[in-house]
Amino acid sequence: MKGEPGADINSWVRDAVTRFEGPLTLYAARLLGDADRARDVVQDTFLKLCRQDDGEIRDRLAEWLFTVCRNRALDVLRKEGRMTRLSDEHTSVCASADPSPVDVLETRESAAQVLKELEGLPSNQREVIRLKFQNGFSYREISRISGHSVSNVGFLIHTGLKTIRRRLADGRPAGVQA
Amino acid sequence: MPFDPEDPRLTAYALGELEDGEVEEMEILLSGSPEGRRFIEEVRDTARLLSDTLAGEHAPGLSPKHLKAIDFELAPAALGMTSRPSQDWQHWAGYGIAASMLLGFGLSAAWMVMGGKNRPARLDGLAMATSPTSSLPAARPDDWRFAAKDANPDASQNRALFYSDEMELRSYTAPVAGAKPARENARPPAKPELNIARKGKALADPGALASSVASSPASPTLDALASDDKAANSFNESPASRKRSDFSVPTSPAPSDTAASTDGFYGRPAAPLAKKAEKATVTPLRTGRGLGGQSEAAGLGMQATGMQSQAGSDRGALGGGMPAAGRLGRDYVPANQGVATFTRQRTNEEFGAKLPAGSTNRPMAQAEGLPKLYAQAGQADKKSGRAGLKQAGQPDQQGASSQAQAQARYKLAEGKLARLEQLAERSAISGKELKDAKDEMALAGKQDFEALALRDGEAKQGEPLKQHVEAEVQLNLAVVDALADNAVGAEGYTDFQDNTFKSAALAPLSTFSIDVDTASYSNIRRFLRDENRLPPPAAVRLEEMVNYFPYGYQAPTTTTPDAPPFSVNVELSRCPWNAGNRLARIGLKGKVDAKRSVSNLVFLIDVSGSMDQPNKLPYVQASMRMLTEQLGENDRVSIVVYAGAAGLVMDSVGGYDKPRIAEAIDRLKAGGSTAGGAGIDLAYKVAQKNFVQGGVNRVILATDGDFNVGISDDKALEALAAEKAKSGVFLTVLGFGMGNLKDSKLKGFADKGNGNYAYIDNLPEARKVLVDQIGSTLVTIAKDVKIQVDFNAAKVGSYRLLGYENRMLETKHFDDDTKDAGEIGAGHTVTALYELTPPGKDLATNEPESRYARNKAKANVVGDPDSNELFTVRLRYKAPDGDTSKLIEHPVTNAGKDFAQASEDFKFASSVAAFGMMLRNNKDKGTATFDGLLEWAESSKGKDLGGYRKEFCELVRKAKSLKNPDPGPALAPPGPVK
Repeated sequence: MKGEPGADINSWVRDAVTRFEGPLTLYAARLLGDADRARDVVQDTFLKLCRQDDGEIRDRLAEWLFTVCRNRALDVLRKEGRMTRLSDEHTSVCASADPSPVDVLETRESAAQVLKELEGLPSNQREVIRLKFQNGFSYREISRISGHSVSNVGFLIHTGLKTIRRRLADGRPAGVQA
Repeated sequence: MPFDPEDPRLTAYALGELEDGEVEEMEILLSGSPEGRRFIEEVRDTARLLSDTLAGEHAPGLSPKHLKAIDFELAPAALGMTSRPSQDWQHWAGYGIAASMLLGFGLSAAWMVMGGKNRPARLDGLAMATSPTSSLPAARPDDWRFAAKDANPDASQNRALFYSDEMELRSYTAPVAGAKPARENARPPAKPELNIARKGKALADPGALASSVASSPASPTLDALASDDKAANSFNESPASRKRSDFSVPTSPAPSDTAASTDGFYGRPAAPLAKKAEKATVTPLRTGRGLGGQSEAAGLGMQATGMQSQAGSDRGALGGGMPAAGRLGRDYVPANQGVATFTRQRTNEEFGAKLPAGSTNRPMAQAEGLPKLYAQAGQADKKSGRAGLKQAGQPDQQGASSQAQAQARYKLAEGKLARLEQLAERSAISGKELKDAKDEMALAGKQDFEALALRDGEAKQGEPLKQHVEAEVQLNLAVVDALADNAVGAEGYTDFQDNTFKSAALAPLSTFSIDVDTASYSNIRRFLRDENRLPPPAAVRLEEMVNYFPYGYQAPTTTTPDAPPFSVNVELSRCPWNAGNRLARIGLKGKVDAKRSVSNLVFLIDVSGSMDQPNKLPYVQASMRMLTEQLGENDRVSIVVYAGAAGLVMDSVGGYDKPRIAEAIDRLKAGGSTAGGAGIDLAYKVAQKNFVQGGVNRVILATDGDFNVGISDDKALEALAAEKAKSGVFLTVLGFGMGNLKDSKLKGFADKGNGNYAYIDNLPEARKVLVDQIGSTLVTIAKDVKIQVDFNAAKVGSYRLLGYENRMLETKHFDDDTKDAGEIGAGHTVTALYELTPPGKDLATNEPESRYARNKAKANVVGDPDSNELFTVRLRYKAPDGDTSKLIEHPVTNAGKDFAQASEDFKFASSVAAFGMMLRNNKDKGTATFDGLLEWAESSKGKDLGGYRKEFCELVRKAKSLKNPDPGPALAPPGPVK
């Protein structure tokens, strides 16, 4: 922050907190796998925002917040030594177990089923899909947030969506084969 | 173009993410493919389903605690703006806490620590971080919260409350475990040492007595605690084993001294009391590690429990907090600045500056009053310190107090735990310790909350005070956060104690290894120039600063094979910062190799996730490109990368194939964890495979040093480096980036691996190291170069080596060829400065090893104490591929020169050293001032090829302005100012 009126920055940061608190905690919780840690990470993110030169990021606040949040979350994971890097080569072997038929019958295309399928995706696909469909970021923004190239983002979303669709379809008695 | 379901552009098209040109192409394709159109529809369906589903997901949201921390981060910005509405976030405050009675805290940080045998320095850093804030309440009469409330009739009351409870507020620094006492009481036999320790401590410190008796240690020990943590921090660093004698117990440092010295340190340039504390202890070398040190320094009986594992009943607690506190002024000044960089901004510029002059004394008064109070009443009190509360119109405080206390304690524990967790993640504390901590908190917290639930109504009475307490808590948290954030928290610096004067009669021999590293200077530059703050003193190494600059010493003239590959240049003049003393410079200059022999270079590049920052991997790549440019046709380059695993990216490629090298460099991408050990292993293997006999064989490690997979222990890494160095492959360590630069780790690694270490903070620096000085960076002309200065006690009273603290050698190691020492590269200059005091009465030494001994026991002794020789410089070195050292001796007489007559190089080196002393707040800096040393530097810039000296002058000015900021509205919050 420069010597600008603090009140301005305060309200700016507070607006940002109000607006992004939910989406960021959700995002971080998905990355970290638990809400408490996610809150800390998001708090860190906002603390960093407090010290940020707002002029620089005002236009891309959401992107900035998600980027910082992501890096922070990965730091946490990395320091815990829990980070398993899921590179693209791994994705094929990391596919989740198929849902049991009973599950499928009961849930079908319900929200729960979609979420379940989503959670079954490799983490990198899961993440970009959330950024895309939960947070409404463009490929380009997702690329900047996640560090994947734009085309890689496209690939991850494409593959992830296809997998979800196929699994949902597989559960259907008269499913359309993709 | 046929329809291909694997084409990601289909999805991109469906989602509207395709570029215009591609959209057209896709539409053409789809127009001819019903299958494709169906695919698009399905994608859109799935997308809708996902969007709807995900939109309905419940977000965890931030807790009031977190929001408060953010609020407090914003608070500084609002400071001074009286109109800031403090109410708007007050709902975030959440729980009602009448925390006025926050008594039970001294035990605090200790238990967190107890579990850990080797408490990582950074965790200490946390505690350090919190400590400064302890003094904040006192220092903030016009805290914005008050300012905002001035319209409120309760305002003055609040303030009265605030002050009356100051000591309690202070206790918030000791926050980790309010929960602890309960547990401790519940299971007394588990920690038998506890009582002993307490007793011991109590002897030394009445304040602590009160706290241990009352088991509610919100007492003056608080600051001691704070300092303990700091002490622990520095203790961590020292490898030597702990000796009790190292810890002298100052005769009378009252708790108040402690408080005052802390205040003096953080708030303003050392208060007189800090000086007093300084004098109270003379610690030759702070030793001890981790917990041992911690408990040694403990101001808290509880802390002694931590000693079970390590120090046993080593009476660590006897000295109690007070010795530690006594040392504070001295030891901590340097040790702490990493933290202080942040806190100073807050305390000094924002809060401290507003503190009335006398206010440092307030803690004293409090400190004296409280112990008695607690001893008698145990909890909320009717007298003295408490009286303020009542007068302020809180008649029922007593009832509410215990539960308020409990709740506040829980809150604190909770908040602190959260922060600790976070830091612990960064410091790689074991999960078990954390879990233990959590369990304890859960236990205590449950009890506390149960108590609370019963008396919730009463708690509300503490409302106004609650806010302050919470404020304080949150401020602490915010500070911790900011610290962690501010990089210093995560950067690894090992502090050391400045070399002090030694008697020439008692210890005529001063032995050290040369050190050509320059990293410290570039790192300091990064702090000053890029981050606008003073570097933490631990990051300031005098010898690396002085050696950063090229000096025009005479290169060796004789070129016979047996002649030493470097020249020795000694100069003496009046010491510029202490007119009564002399300053001696020993300057080595390596011979300049006209042509570099064939090089076999292995780049070992850290491509872990932490390197994925604009000032890291891209700089590494740029640096590598620069170096590649320098290569000759016969040189060979290999590239090994490591992240989660190590891999050979490019096996030895000839220097003629620059495009191929460049391409490999460009391909590097960061991501993943950091298995440094495996990478090092592989790099050395590659280097050995391509070994060039008689050539340059070198591994060039580029990293931020944040090894976190495989071998990550400093000692183990150093052992690995030492092992690898035997292979004849030398090492260059290039440190990059900030935030988690592991300075000490890299330096230790380079030192042990026959290497040099440079910190690349910008591209010009990369150019300096890898292009301008490529010879000295890559070509080693002598290794294991040791210097021993033999002082003539008849002419020199005492001496002090400036810098080289972590390069000191034992006298006997000088002649011991198995002892590793520093390397000197082609064209390198190495400079060491000694400050000498005039001789005292003790006119000669009896030390038989000295050339000037009265009883010359040594056969080769030829010196004469009655000669005019001030000292003799001895050097030992080995050829790069040699195993036996050669000796050079160089007697020096005093020319009686004044500083004004000294050479430009001499003057400039002096000013650099003085600058380092200023930054380290070295106690022997004498009359040195920024202005003074700037004058010396300005007048001795000389030709200044590369503009390094000019830049130095700018840095001095910057440091001066940071140290003494212009008074005024400079309330900008910490952090980089853009």
